[in-house]
Amino acid sequence: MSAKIRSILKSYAFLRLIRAIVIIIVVISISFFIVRLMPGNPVDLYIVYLETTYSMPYQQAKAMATAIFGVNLNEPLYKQYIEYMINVFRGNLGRSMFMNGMPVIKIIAQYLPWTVFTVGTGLLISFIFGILIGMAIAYRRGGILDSIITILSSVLNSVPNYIIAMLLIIIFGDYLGVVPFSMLRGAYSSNVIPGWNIPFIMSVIQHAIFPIFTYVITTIGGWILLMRGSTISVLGEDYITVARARGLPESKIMTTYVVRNAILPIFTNFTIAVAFIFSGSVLVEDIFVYPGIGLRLLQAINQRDYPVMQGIFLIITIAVITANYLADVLYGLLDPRIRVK
Amino acid sequence: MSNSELILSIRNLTVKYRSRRGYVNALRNINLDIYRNEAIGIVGESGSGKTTLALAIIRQLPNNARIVSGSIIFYNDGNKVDLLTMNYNEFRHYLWEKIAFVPQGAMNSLNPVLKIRDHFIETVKAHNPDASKEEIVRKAREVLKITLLDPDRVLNSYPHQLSGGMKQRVMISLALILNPAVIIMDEPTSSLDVVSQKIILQNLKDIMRMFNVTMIIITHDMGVVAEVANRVVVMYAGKIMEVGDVESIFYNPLHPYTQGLLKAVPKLRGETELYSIPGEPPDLVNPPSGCSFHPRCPFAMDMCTINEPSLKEVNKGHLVACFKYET
Repeated sequence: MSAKIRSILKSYAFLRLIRAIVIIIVVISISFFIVRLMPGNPVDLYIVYLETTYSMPYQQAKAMATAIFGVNLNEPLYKQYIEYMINVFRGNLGRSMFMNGMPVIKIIAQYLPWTVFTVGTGLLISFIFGILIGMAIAYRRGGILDSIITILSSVLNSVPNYIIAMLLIIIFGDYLGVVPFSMLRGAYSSNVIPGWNIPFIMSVIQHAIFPIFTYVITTIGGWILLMRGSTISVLGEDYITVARARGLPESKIMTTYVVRNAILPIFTNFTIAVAFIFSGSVLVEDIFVYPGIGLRLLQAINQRDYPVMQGIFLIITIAVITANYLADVLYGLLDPRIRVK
Repeated sequence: MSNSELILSIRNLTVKYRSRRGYVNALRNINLDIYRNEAIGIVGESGSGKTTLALAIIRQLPNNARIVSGSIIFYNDGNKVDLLTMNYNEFRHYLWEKIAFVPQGAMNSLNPVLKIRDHFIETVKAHNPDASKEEIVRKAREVLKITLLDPDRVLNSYPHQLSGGMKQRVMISLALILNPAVIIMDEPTSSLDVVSQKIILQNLKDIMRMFNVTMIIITHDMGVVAEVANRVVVMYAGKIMEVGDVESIFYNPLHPYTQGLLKAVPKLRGETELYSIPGEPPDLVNPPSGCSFHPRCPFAMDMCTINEPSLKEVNKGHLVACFKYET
């Protein structure tokens, strides 16, 4: 039994998990100390705000700030830190300074699924199609189709997603006038009942389709270019020539030789894309008025709602680190050279 | 050659590569007969067309290459087939089953994400889908032992876990798995340390002794040729300059280029200054007129700059393309 435990402890996945957890702890700590140690930190500012706006006595204002930020301001800093860390791991991220002090974790639970849904779907669609198109044009490199798609991909890759979002509204909403964008605000229409029923699902899809489409168009070019380059370099490898010389059928060469090797370097970019899309969702969700975490973050910033901002940053960080972790573990499964012996 | 039964007959093979500067004349009118169970060494400097010739035989030339003319006849159990005009799906079954190819720098010849075991299995399965995995692995163990590798260790390794020399030997074993009639080795010893080189040369000699196989060894190393080949083809600028058995080439080289090549081999004793052929290899986009070697040839005559000598038999089995021997 001890041998088995030792092999798990030594495994690549476990070592990377430890690293991911350490990074998350470091990030949480940094976010705690930045807020606490800044001159004119938000906690003090909030106390002053309560005192001046509501003429609240200092003790009461401090008690309220303590509740909102989830820390006890009477304790020394290190105790506050320990308390904060315990709270975070319990899922207590403090409360909003507005919305009657709604817990931050509840706000995140309400908004995050919509972003995960649209961003995840968009990323998946663009990744799959980008990979397929990139590989197809790599096989036909030098052709007309290759030139057209490569140029188009470079253009799409360099246009920011909020420009595409606005263009979609201008073209479909105003110029062609076929899509009533003002009706598509929110995650679903107000006249449907949330649940597993057709009208609700249809409404969700209708509302999500333009944000998803925006993510797809703005990221697919990158995947196409990456996969094209990667496939071309793999096609030039000796092992492809040898695989053909060994008389392997072309379909087999494409699956176990070209795809498996060409996709490896792209995996790393996949995780970076997760981070980019989360940050990109801020502007896209604002433009489409889609109630995701990005839109909520923007509101929090505008209102100086620090606990909410801090909570959302934390969630985004954890999402990015988790995506990185999963990609690393998957990479290890796909590429034997990465595995730790 | 005790039996001189033909196995490959190359006729008028001309291959060009498209490049920015124009067409590169990689192979020009190659005529070569290869006999069953011989070991033929193809020598020449870089860019002389050795590898192009190998890739043309197995029809794996890069996309920018074009076979302008020629035929490669393969004698298969009494039947003659032209490898170049055959339907590719049909040709796929000639690959590795009849003609195996071990490329230059076998370091990158194995798929990095597959174990060595899987390379053997998928190769056999591509030609014989009904073969059982146990049977394939059993055969793989046999051929790995021929190249002096430890089958238990190697079969379960990934390519990156093996050294360069071991990978080269894995490729040679893999080439034997389907009992091909011909094995083409492109630079089997280059980029290996001398110990690995020695093992590989020993492997090749063992294989020649144990199997009925024709070996085509492409190399720029005269030492390798002397060690394993029984016939030698000297190539220069996409043309064959001289063909003969290994003794004739080494003791009685006819072509000035071959003479130069042999003088350029370092010796253990004797002259300290190493000879090198003056001049540079020709530009194959605009090859020199007449004999391609004339700008570097110490014996060049006026006619060499105008006319191109053709390959003629001077002694029995010893052919040379040079006007020196045509008077």
